[in-house]
Formats: sequence, C-alpha cells, structure tokens
Amino acid sequence: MKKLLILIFFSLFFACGPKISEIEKYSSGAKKGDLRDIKKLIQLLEHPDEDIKVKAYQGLINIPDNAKAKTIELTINLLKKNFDNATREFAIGLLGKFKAKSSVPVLIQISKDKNFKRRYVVFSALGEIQDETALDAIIDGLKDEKEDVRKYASRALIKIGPKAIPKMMERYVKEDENTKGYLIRAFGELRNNAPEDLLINDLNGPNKYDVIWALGKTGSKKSLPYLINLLNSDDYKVRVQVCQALGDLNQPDAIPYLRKALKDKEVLVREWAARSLEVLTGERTYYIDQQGKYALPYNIYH
Amino acid sequence: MRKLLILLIPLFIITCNKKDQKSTITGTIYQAMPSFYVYIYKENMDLKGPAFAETISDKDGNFSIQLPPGKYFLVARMRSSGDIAGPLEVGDFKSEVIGPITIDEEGKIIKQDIKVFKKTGENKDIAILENKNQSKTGISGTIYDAEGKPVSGARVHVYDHVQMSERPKFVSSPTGPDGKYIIYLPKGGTYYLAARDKFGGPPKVGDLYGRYDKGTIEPSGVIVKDNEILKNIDITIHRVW
Repeated sequence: MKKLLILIFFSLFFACGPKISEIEKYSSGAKKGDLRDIKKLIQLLEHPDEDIKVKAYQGLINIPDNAKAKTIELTINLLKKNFDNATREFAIGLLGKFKAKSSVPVLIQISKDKNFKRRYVVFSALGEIQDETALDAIIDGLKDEKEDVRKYASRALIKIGPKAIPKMMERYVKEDENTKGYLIRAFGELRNNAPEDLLINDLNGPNKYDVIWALGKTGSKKSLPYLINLLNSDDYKVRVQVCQALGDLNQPDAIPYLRKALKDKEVLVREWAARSLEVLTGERTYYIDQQGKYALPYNIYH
Repeated sequence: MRKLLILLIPLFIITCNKKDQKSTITGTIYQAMPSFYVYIYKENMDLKGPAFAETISDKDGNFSIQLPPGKYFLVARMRSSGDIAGPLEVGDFKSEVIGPITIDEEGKIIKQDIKVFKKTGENKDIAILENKNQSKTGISGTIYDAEGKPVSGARVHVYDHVQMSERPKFVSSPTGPDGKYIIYLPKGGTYYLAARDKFGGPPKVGDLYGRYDKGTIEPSGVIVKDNEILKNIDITIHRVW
C-alpha cells in the first residue's frame, strides 16, 4: 500500500509538469540573457503539452540580442535530435523569429522531409530570414503536396522581395501551371512589372484570373489594351477581375470602358466597375444592384 | 554665459520630456471583482471592435493606464470565459460607455470610476450565427490544422474589406469535430475570410490563425453571387509566430 502511494505521488508529480510560475521565472531570467533559463525554456519546447510549448516560446522570443547566437545554436541542435512534429514546429518558428541565417542549410534539408507534417513552418521561417540562397528550395516548396506548404513558400518569395524576381522569372518558364499560379500571385504582390511580358503571354491560360489580378497589381500599362479586350469575355469572373485590375492600374484611359461595364448583365461586374471608377475619378459612382436600384458599392479599401 | 547655459540645459530637458509625457486614467470598478478589462477607444473607433489600449483591474477593482493626449472612451467588460475579446453573453459584466475623456498635453492623473452591471436577456452575437433569415447566400468549407486534421472550436470571421481590421462583419458558429462551417450572408459580394481559435482582437503569438488566400500576403477575395452557397472554401490555421 505504502509503495503504491509513493508510486501515485511520483506519477502525479511528473504528470503535472512545470508550473506556470516556473515558466514565468525562466522567462524572466531569459529576458535578462540568463543562459540556464534559456536552456530550460528550450527544453520545454520538447514538452508534450502544446500550451507549455507556447509559454516557453513566448519566453524565448524576448531574450536580449546578445543571447540570440547561443540560443540559435541550441535550437538548431534540438532540431537535429528531436523529430517530433510539434517540437520541430516551435523550434523552427523561433529560428524564423530570430531571422537566423545560420539555420538556412538545416531548414532547406527539413523542407524536403515529407515525414515532418508541419513543414509549412520551414517556409514561414525562410520568409522571415529572407536569404537568397534559399530561393530554389522555396520555389521547390511551391510544388509540395500540401497546399499550406505551397502557400507559405509563395509568401516567403514575397517577403524576400524584388531580389527574388530574376530567379522566379527563370523558373517560371520551366514550371507546371499550378506552380506558375503561385509565381503569378507572388509577382502581383511584389508589384514589379519586370515579368509583365510573361504574364501577358499567359492571359488566356489556365491561370487567367490570377494573371489579370497580377497585371493590375504590377502596374503594367502595357497590359491595358489586353485587359480592356477581356471585358468582352463570356466568363463573368474574368470581367469582374478585369474591372478590379483596371482600378489597381489607375489609368484614366480605362474610364470609358468601366462606364460601359456599369451596364454589364452581371451585378458583380457592375459593382466592381463602380468601385474602380471611384478609384480613377475620385467620385462615388452608383451601379444598378440585383433589385434594379441604384446603389453605391461598399468600400473594400477602408 | 555659463550660468545661462546651466539654466537653459534643464529647461531644454524638461521641454523635450514634455512631448513624450503621458497622462494617466485611474479609477475603481464598482463590482469589486478581479480581472475586469478596461478598454480604451479613440474617437470614431468601433466601440465593439479591437480597442486602442486595454488594461486589467487588480483584485480590488482598481485600474490605471497611461495614454498619450487625445479624446478617449472607456468601457469595462468581464467575460465569465475569461476571454479578452468576443461577444458578451448573459451573465457577463459590462459598463456603459464613458467619455469622451480629454487628455491634454500636460501629464496628469484623471480619476474615473466605472459602474458595471450584469448582462441579462438574450445573447446577441455580432453576426449571423444561425440562418434565421433563411438566406440562400453563403460560404462553407472546412477548417484544418497544420497536419491536415479538421479543427474543432474554430470560427470563421468574414470581412467586407481587404485590410480585415476592425470588427468582422459576420462570424460563424464554432466548428464541430469535423471542422466544417457554413456561414450565411445577407447578399452576394466580395468577402475576405479568416479562421481562428480565439474570438476577437488581433491574433497574438501562439494563437491559431489562418486567412483564406492563395499564397499571397493580401487576402484573396471570395466572390459569392446572390442565392449561391459557395462550397469548399477551406482554411488552414497555423500558429502565429
């Protein structure tokens, strides 16, 4: 009986895990750069309870700059020995938060590990680190079987910025349509018209909606006649997208075509034509809504 | 000359410091219970949306917050769930909106006590949670986690503007174990979607959050036509790092 009680006592002791006050104590020490407390928090990233991991992570992100190099080294070591999905996710999240360039080789290696189910975080981190040496690996990430991984890879390219564009253009012509779709959207968000010829060439391809959107965002004046021509498309989604892009392009030449689109048979086209006319003319513009009444579009840009 | 400099230097320091000086609003919440949140809103802000600043009262109901010059409104709220944001439910506590309280440039302490009362009557959410209006327009899909598993207890927030700031226009009921959601809308249009595990306020480090997009930083608009239930608008939520 006594042995059983002792066993229960110790089981409960370990099952309870670290108290919140203990984590707060470590966090407080870590904030001052105390390496022992930082090590404790890194150990807690391995704890099975995700709430404990979150608290440990929150403690680690507040360490002073002079403690970051050692913390990065310890975190990379953790990644080399622990293959638990959640632990790796938190460790990689931390490396991204610290913009740890020294972790890029190990991150590239992990990005290819299909057993790591939370590998989106690798691309989240690479986007924060913004190291050009990772560009090929990031573009490879656009072909990952998991959609969230592909999206984070795309965002990583956007975060790297204009310096990613030459490599993206080089790879664009070699890629399949799905991968091209991510590159097109990233081109759009980078708001740089270097790839406008590539985009105009694909205006009638499978990624047409994204190409139209991207041409608007990149400010491609060259694309204006092509876009205006697409206002005659049978596909109402193409016409909606063109009206939106013409607002983004902000070229006065588009005004008469948008006025014509106010009479489109599809209400969503009329609404977007009114919205873009407001951008171009600075005046509120009415359109005819579903009930046949004059209405003002709500402002999606406020 | 030296004396003049000695005189001018402290004056310069005082003048420089004055720019950064903040005033303090302090007070007591009458219903002496701990953990009342006091939300501070600037003029023209949505008083039910994310606040400009917030503080929490101590065990005796006392609170204090430093603010830069401006006109402010105060509201105290305490949710029995302990959450910092989200719609108030029957049994939660709230105050009337107090203000405007004007803070001028001189650092001073403004005393403002707050009376709170218990919310009674029916729960009213900020959005259409049930299809009481028999709308035939809506969006449906599934919320997944980073490992591709359906998420239970997440809500979809629907915005009608691309920045997705302020209060969402509509919020879904929490997802069940299958992660599925459906949200009815009064009419078709262009909407922007986010899903999250917590209700209200900007997502914080450690929260689970995801927007509907196609791999862009800017969210992707979802175009819904009148009388259309758009399907398979799935969202994956991840930790905020």
